[in-house]
Amino acid sequence: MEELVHNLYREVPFFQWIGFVPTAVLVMLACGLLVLNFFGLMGGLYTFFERKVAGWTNSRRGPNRVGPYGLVQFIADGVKLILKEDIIPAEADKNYFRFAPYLLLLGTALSFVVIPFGPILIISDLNVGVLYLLATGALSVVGLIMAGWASNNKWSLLGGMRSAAQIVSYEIPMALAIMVVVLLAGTMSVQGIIRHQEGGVLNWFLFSSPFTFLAFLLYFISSIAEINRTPFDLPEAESELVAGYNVEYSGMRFGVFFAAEFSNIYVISAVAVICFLGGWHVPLVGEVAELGNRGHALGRLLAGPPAMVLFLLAALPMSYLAWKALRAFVLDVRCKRRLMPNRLVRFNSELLVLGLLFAAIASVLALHVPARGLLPNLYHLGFAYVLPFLVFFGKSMAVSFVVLWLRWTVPRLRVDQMMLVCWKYLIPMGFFCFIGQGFWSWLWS
Amino acid sequence: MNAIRGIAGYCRNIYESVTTIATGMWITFKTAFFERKVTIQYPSHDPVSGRNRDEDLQDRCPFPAPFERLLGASQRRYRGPLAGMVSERYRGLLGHDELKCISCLLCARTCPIDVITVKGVRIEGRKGRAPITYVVDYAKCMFCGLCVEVCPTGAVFFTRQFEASTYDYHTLIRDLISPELRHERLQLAAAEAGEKPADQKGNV
Repeated sequence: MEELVHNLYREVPFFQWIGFVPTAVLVMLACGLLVLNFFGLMGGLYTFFERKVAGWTNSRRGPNRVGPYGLVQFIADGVKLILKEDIIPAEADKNYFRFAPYLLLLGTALSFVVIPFGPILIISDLNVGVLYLLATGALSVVGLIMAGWASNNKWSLLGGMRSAAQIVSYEIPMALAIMVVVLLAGTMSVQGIIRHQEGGVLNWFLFSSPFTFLAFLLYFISSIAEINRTPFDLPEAESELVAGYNVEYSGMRFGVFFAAEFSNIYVISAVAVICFLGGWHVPLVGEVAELGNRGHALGRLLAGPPAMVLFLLAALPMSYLAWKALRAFVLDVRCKRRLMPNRLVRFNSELLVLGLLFAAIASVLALHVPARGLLPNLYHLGFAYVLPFLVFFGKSMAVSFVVLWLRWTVPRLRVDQMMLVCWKYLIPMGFFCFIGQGFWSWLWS
Repeated sequence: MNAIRGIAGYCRNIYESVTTIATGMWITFKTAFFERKVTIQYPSHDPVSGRNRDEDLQDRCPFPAPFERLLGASQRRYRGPLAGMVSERYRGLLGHDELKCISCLLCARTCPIDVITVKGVRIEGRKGRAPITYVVDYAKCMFCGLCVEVCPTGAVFFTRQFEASTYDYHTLIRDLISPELRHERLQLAAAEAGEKPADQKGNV
């Protein structure tokens, strides 16, 4: 963002005319608008995703009525929540009660400042980025305990107290797991950590040593506890505390709580991707380049980032078409064997041919168009913005799927078990990882 | 010794938690992606034919079917018409078999809330009286089944039909004898009453 402000100020007369500070303010507002909208959209989409996963794991289908595949369901839910009455209990501490959801939202929204969308697209690459992420994560405890206290309800208060105990405890293993990564990368900057994992899947910190693998698991478990999700959703354990800290909330305030919780899933998945799964680095690019260096023909053909980018961009629609064709073929066979009633979707070879044709064109393009040749700007756009964003987003979604999947598998822990898992298992393992990784690096250096 | 036992227990705890969670997650994963969904998309799923009315709400599972069997996922799924899911003795809307009915009015009399109104006429060659109106007020009916039990010929019965929602309850007051049939029978009865010889001639 800093470069954007400086560039705009230097290049565009309009911004020179209004001055440096207003330019900075305008850019900040624009970024804030973008990120908050992304944040809201993510929260909504996660509610949809969650319900879909819940349906699948229960042998149901999940929402599929509103919009295509039920995708617009979350907007319907939002409208419902807005139209509902916003009740504030008579005995509640009204100002705190009103403020608490927004504090929780703030903690989540602030994390988006250092979450990158690509090598260039990041609001601000702080040099203490990971530490900042931990700090904003811990901010949510204030919102939760404020909500619990202000509701003037025993259940809410218990939920708030539990969340405080839980979040403060699970900060420690989480920080220890991230320390392992910081130890390896030698920086706390988010982009620095990602750049350190360049060059293929095996260079990701996840596979860098057994200790980092363990650290990933530790991070994953404690981050789930950090955002109060099952199996650690004790602050809102409905079988014990009715609904915990949000018992008294209704209408859109409740919706804000929910949006913050669901966006938190994106935040923790993004941090897992940043620290352990190679960030926005495209998988397999490094391996192909390595093959090329060793003199393999295929590697030499496919080597070079621009060629790879085009190939991968082409591979997406191609694989979609091929998938469609395969699916239609399978359905066709099943129809013929009378395993299922006839349907409109039948196998047609055009789909397959089209997919193969697309693949061929893409390969030719990828092999013969150098980076500075045809459409260099398009290359640049694809390589610097679109592809890394898609890769980062895809990886985050994969991690989030595991978070949701875990929720619909594992039952809730008891309070004492939750504390026991943290203090007796995760924290010692965190120290073990940290020290072990130190020795490991020393051995291999 | 105690220390060793403690450490072994600690490690076993970790091992067991990992394996049990992995087992559970494998089961949910299998269910999520490789199993037929049991939901019947009711308003889209035609209750009579069992087919889907909406093409876009087809019975999809995210991965192609051959994987299901490989993974041992459950194949149980109801495929027939929705009425087949309704139990055998389900008390749905009242049905009336006008060929069996003798218009004895037992059903109308036994009904505690006067749901049924029957009128019949005598027609030559038919036992009892032939019904010309059989009005059932489904809005009032409480499906107690007294009429079904009392009917001597089994003309009144419960169907398994349950789709009776409507925007206007007057549409629930239905005459189960069609107007054409009623007209025909009234004419027949009038003819019998007025010109018996001619009718007998005609019959011979």
